[in-house]
Amino acid sequence: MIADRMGKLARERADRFWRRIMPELRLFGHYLPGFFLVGLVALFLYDRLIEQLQPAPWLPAMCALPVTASVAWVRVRTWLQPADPVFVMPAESAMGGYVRQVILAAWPGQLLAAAGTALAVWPLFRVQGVMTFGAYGAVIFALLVLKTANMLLWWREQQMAHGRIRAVFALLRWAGTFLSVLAGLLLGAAVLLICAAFLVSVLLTGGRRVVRFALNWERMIALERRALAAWRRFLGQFAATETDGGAARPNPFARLAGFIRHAPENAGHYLYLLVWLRSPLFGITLRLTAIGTAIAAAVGDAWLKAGIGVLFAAALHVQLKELGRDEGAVEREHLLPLPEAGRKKAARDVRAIVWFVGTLLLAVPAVLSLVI
Amino acid sequence: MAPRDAENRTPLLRVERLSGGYVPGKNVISGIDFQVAAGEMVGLIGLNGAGKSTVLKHVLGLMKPREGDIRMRGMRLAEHPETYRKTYAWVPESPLLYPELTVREHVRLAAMAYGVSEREAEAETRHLAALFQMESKLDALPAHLSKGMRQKIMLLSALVVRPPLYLIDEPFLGLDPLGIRALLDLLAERKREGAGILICSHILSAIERRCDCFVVLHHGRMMAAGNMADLRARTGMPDGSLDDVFVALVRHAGTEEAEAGRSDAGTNPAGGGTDPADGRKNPTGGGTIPAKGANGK
Repeated sequence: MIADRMGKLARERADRFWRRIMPELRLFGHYLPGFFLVGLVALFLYDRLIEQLQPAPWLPAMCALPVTASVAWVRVRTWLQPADPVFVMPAESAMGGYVRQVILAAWPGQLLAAAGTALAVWPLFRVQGVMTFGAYGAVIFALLVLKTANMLLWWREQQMAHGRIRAVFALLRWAGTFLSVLAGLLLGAAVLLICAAFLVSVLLTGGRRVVRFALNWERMIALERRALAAWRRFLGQFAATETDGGAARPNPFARLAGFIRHAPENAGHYLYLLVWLRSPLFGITLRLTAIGTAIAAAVGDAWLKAGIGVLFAAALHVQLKELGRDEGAVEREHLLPLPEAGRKKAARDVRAIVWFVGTLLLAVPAVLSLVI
Repeated sequence: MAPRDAENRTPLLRVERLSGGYVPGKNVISGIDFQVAAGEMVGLIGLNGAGKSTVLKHVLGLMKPREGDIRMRGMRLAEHPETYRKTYAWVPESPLLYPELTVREHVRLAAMAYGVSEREAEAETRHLAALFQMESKLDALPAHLSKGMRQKIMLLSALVVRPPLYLIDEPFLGLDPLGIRALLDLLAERKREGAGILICSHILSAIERRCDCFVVLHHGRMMAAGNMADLRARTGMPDGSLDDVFVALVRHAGTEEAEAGRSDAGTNPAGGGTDPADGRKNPTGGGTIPAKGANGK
């Protein structure tokens, strides 16, 4: 009964999260053409790297690194919140089922990520010429078994009470996973499976002596907080999202605002220049301008350069619209005698200057290709 | 009458028969009447939910009065919004800060908006920062400051601009004892210089000696108004502190309400249930203190 309720709670929280984040994902989707272009450039560079590579003793180790990361790195959304130890703790007996449910929910995605990474590494590993694609397929299957084992070991790790022991356990797990992956790449799937079994048995036996909680509440809540922060960081890279609120960062360029003349009519400009410089919008502006300029510089045709410039200038315009929108806080409007019209104009002015400078930089590759 | 005299005699803030609320048809405050003159500190006191913050919201223009009138130096907000807003500096109960601005930048922004010169603002910022032990925090962002320090940013921003009127809502929450002392001393100094101050606080002992008069709100109505002597006379406590007087007033109002409830229940089985603010008899009417003006005018 309680287990059902807990399961329902996890589903509800997951649904709520996706509902809340969907508008921001849609906003992020505006940049898909840009990401597609970045992806094409990355594929081109990867292809060039493979063409230049020769078989070498270090190549399997190099291939094992990204595969190890995808196998040993486990991210499980626990959906636990800071208030849960107070309100959900009475149902701790049902939490075993809850944890199984959240790990099982994360399992397919994690397997997919590991298999995807292994497949992406194949063109690189093929250069070594030690394995056919069929044999590599068997290695991928063994990798999925190792991934599942890693998820179980990860859960054991999260139960540990002491942070240092947890860190040592994690280090051993990652090292063991790397050696297993390397052995699998060099000697085949069967060896990888034997190594995986050895790793699990050693770590589980060693882990038995360690003090563990049935459910390490603090740890699980911290993991959820980190997962949320990672989403925010990811979505905040190119789009000003609601979740960025309050993410002000120091910026040495903020001194520029000091040059604004001290006068009532400039108060709005002073405010919005500082808001732009210290909010995530500053990073977004830099990233969009830099990526747009780099892609425009990489492509050959002058018209294509101009098109990419226009695309990124439009994206910049959409993002900069966020500047001044946080003024919705009704009470803050009454804090200072800044007339509404003047304040809106100040936000528009700052947006226009920033957009103009960004667009100038985005236009440089196209202009240079026409001039030179 | 000379124009200067006329200006001096016009109260900085005049609230007349103010009624208003959040939900249509249901007043949270009703019949509020008081004024704040230059060089006067008025304490707006009452229990949680008495209507203090609602009164302030009406004065600030965050809420529109359903009845009554609010004038700042004789001007209404709708007629002269800019001059009206430049007349006061507001210190809200919870700090309203821009996360992207440092302490120094908040103060500079306030100085710019109110038209205080740069040199004056810088000198005043240094002086105030020293008084509130904020010198080392001037270049910190609000996210890196404690709650009390964030409150100090609001105070610094309000004090640096030297407005004619200060509207201060629960300023002592989160402030350390030195900060409270510094604030009270500064307010007393500003009052001597001719500023008007309307202060809402639950820390009655802190404002008892500083305020010239008090407006006591209860369930959205003015329960009493006057200076300390008036309130003592009304409650029959010649040596009572503001705490004692306030508690006596609130208990008395509670007893009256209970009696009114009993008599209502006897005569009206439906039990009223209309407007909590409008539906009560005015408790100030029966006492010795008229509720016309906080300063007795």
